[in-house]
Amino acid sequence: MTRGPAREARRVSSRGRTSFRRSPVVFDATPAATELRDGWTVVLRYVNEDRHPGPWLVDLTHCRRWDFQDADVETQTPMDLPVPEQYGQVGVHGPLVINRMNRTQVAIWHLGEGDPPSTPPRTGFTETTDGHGMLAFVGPGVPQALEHLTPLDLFDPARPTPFLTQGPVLRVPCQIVTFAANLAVMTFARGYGETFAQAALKSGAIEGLRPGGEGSFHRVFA
Amino acid sequence: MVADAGAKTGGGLPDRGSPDPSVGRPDSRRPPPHGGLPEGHLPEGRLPPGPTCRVDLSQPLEFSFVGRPVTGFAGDTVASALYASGVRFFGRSLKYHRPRGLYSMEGESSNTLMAIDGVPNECAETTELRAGMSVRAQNVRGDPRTDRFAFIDRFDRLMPAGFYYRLFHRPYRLWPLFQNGLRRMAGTGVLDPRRGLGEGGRVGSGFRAEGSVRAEGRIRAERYLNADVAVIGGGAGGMAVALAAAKRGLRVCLFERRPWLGGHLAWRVREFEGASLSRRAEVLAVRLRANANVRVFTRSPVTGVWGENLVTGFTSGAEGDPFRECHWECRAKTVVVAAGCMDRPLVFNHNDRPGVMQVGAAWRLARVYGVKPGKAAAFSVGDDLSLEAAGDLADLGVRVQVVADAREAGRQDAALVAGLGERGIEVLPGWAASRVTGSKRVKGCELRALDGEGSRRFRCDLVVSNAGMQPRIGILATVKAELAYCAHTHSYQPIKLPRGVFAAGSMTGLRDPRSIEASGRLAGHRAAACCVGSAAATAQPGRVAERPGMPKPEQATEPAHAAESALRSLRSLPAPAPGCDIRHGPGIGRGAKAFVDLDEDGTYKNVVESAVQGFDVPELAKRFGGFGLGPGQYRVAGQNLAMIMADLRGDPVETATPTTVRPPLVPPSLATLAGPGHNVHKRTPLHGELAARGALFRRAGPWLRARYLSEDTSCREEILGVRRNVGILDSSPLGKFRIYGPDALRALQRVYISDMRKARAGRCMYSAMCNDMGQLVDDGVVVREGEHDYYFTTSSGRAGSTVEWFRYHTRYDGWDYNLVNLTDVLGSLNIAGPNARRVLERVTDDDVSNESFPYMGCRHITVGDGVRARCLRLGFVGELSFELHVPASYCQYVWDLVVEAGADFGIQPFGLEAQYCLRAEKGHVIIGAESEARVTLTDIGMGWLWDREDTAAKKVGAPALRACAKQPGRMKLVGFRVDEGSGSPRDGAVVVDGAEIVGYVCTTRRSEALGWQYGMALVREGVAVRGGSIRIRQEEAPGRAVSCTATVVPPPFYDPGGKRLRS
Repeated sequence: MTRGPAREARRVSSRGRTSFRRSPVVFDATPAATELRDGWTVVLRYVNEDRHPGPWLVDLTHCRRWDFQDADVETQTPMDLPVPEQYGQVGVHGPLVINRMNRTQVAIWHLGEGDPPSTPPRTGFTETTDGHGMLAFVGPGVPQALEHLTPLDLFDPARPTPFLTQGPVLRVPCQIVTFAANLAVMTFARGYGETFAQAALKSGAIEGLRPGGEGSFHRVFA
Repeated sequence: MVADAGAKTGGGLPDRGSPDPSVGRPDSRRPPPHGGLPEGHLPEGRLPPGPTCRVDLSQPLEFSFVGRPVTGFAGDTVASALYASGVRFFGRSLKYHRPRGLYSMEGESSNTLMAIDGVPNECAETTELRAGMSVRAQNVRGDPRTDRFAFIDRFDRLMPAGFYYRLFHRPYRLWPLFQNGLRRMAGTGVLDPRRGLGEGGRVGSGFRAEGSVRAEGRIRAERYLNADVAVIGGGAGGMAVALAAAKRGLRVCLFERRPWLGGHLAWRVREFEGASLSRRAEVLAVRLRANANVRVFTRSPVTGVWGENLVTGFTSGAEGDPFRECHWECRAKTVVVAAGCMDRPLVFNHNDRPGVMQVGAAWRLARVYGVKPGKAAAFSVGDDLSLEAAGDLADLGVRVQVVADAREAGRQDAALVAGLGERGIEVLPGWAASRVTGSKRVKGCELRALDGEGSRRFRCDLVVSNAGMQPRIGILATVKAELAYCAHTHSYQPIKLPRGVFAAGSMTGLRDPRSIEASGRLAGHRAAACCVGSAAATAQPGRVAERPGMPKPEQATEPAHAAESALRSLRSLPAPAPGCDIRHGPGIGRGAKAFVDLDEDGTYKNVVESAVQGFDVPELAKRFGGFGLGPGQYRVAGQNLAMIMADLRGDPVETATPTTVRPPLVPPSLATLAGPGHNVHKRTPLHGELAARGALFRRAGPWLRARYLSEDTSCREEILGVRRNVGILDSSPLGKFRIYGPDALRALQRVYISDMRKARAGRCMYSAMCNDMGQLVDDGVVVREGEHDYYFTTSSGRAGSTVEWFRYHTRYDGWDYNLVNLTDVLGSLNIAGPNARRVLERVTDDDVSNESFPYMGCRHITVGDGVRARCLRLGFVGELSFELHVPASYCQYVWDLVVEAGADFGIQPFGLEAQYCLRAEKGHVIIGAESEARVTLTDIGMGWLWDREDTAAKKVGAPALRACAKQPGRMKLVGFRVDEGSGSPRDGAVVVDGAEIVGYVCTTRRSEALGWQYGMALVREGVAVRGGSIRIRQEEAPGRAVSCTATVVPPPFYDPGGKRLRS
């Protein structure tokens, strides 16, 4: 092993930093309460957030996510979760949400409070937390706000909630889970995070959409 | 305001309509009794506000017209306010500069297109008045009353039909002079480029919404709706449709172009079954708004109906709305068109004079806007609704002198005729208007009997006319309905509608309010049956049909039964009323000033001229004479043109068809169509960092990438930093994938051109992908990470399509493998340069020495305080370099560590352009820069990647490569060194052999490291031999080409032995 002169000067480190991880989503709002979690600085509430009736746009990029694939995915129980029988179906099991994407693939999201599970040492799992931006649309007026963003029928009453839709929002490929008329959560390629959130807020402003903290999401998701 | 339904909050779906306080706002703005004014204090020009008046006289609004102050009131349109204040000349006509005034109050012609707040071609008849508006007439020189070009009207003989194509062309050299002059004169409205500031201050991004003063601060909006039934038209028929469909639990969206619901019932005070018709409309509207399944959009004209029942339109923002216009698209399972009907214009001499208006216009002016349309009126009409209007206007104080009805005696509603008689109004059956007198505005009217037995003149300032009613067929035309002339209603009616499209209401010829509502109910039930039937038909056992809310097959019959019942009900009610078949007024002579089309100044005489010259069907006459080409499209000219043409040809009118109607039926602004213009793109995890360092970004596919790190676009310092010291590049957009599964290797063997069995753990294997034609489409490295588990990289541009590429080329094999796109999961930092290892050593405890981590190695290392990174030792830029692939959220942290560690060395970030130059010095190919559609992998010198022995894998592109391997005369990639002093070619310069072009320069740069200009060119095989000379030619300026010479040298130009990579 080479040990050059610079070796002694080494150990450039975090120097006491505890917030290592950054979300691609940046809101132009002042946090009122934050929490450090697994290297992320999570905003729990924004200043004056409670003064508005909603809807809110909540950054959930820090929530852990996994991709699980298997040729016989229907027979599998990734993280001990039953795989939904049909494409587009979603299972909610406590803090974990499992989305059946297609014949061989499911996505698993940890949306609840508390520590997420670690990635199981199975071949089919790939942790994709860092691959996506994740946003929740929370509160009254969510369907109207989303109408300004996507032609997808995210609130089709013929589909039992929760359900998964894969398609474009703001022309960006997204995976959207509709939990209720006041809650939809979507993921998209992380690179879009900043500009996607800006555009969503701008279009949704007609319906009063504004940044919200994680607390707003948990109040509804719980 | 979009009268829109809000969602229920909390738990359950659906978002269905309403108790949104905004719903019904337009109607809730109904002014107080007497318009908010004490009786006896009416402003001039105003009528006492009646129960159907929408104007609030207690809220004056000041605005200006051609610089003069004018007062209108809340609820007015620009046109109604101007008319009430005495304005009669709204503009001048296109060709003849004839004065034009109010005609339809619905925007059916270009008469009242005006410049409002500097925005041209705004329709004053439909634009709601706001305080502070600045209104100007269009196509006017000076004041609209005394237009300086008014004399042109006397020279109409110089402008026959099609004159633009026939006159002024000889001598041809003078045509541009005439052409420019005609175009200058004929323009309608002038764009002010100073107002063309869109959002963000960008010039040219929109001229209307953001440009206008009153639109300042408003956003451009778009909205996507989903519905089971889209109802177009908010009249009695449309509302009945919506209620019937909503009763079946369907999602209904109803679009109404006016700010209120009710259609023509909304201003009719005639008693019917114990209540006024307007009251009947209000009751329906209240029921509609109380229905949670219905969403109502007022101020929302439909622009067209497209494939798969996509309805498009826009909503005009009301005061307080954050948008001026909101484009919307509604995807519906079924569409019901209940767009109503409108006056068919009556063609007679000077029928365009200010003071001549359609029945609906005069009636709405009086009843909706409380404006007296005239003092003394003559009516020339052709339907019962107009007789009702005549009586009603007489009741409001208009002195109706006579009502000429083009229908023969006995075909009128006897009660209405009797009512007119009681008011002392003479009714002349079988008579119609022949001409209007008055040089600028109506001063009198001449009526004639249609059988030629007499004529009479009346002094009046208002001529209210129509030739009966015609349906609004525009929407049906865009939906490709088959229309045919109905000899009973004398209008064009749909005889065949596409699946899922229905028609209802008065547009089907019905006039009785009960029949109109019944037809709406029938259409609503039929639409429901169609929706439910479709859902049941597509239901699969055990799947969709089991969902709650979805119909079971037996349920599909319920709406069908309801439809049968509604049909029986409709048949018991009055059928469509007979129409009026008058083509034009009697005694119009040549019809030189009898206008068939107001927009294009197309007269009856012009129609005859077109027919005489062979353009004797409406579609040809439209092109030749311009009939229907204006903003009104079919609405004024359509049916009349078809009927007149049939007459001129001597054919039965049933054989004539109106001209094609095309969307947009109502024009939104271009800015509205452009949409919000969100610039949604991908940014790397280090975008903010690089932006703070002054990077200049460029779009590369979906990514915004740092192209330059300084204003110096030659990137000299960035390049030298890498060559002599150490640099760091954000290469995060690099495609990164995981492929695993029992058949992963077989998939790799299929799409990669090399023998992928050679991929080993801890080693990067460089390879490429070809398409079926043997062209290079992608390259990257593959690393084996476990049994049946591989990690590979692709070029940034191909990352988005790699998964599909694999799936497509293995689609018939049934292989078991899985792909995960990690492009966004992992950020990528490339530390490159002679000092790269020394910097890396400062941020990791892992051994990164040359011995344990050689060139093309791959290691998992820990960086900083525990960040796991995949480190690839590659050499794309021709120097010792380490590519760190780290989770994207850690990228900034790792960047900070590396930059801090490299501070002692003067580490310098470099951008894409520097990387481009560095790799070119090394002779590394970039797909698209040094490859193209005419060259294969072997042509660009990368044939060594191809595993020629393996045919079992069926490698993509291998057959083509085999076929081209010995093909003579192909283009080949060669390197060259520009001869000193001979010139400095640029990318794209052509390589010539004598006078023949034999290739072109792909990339050429002057290298600071080499001290000379190098390049790569694609040239015809045999032209460039090693050590030989090529001639490069390029244009320095238009028409001035210069040549230079270069010597062919094989790449790589820099460090040909690769010692630096391996150091």
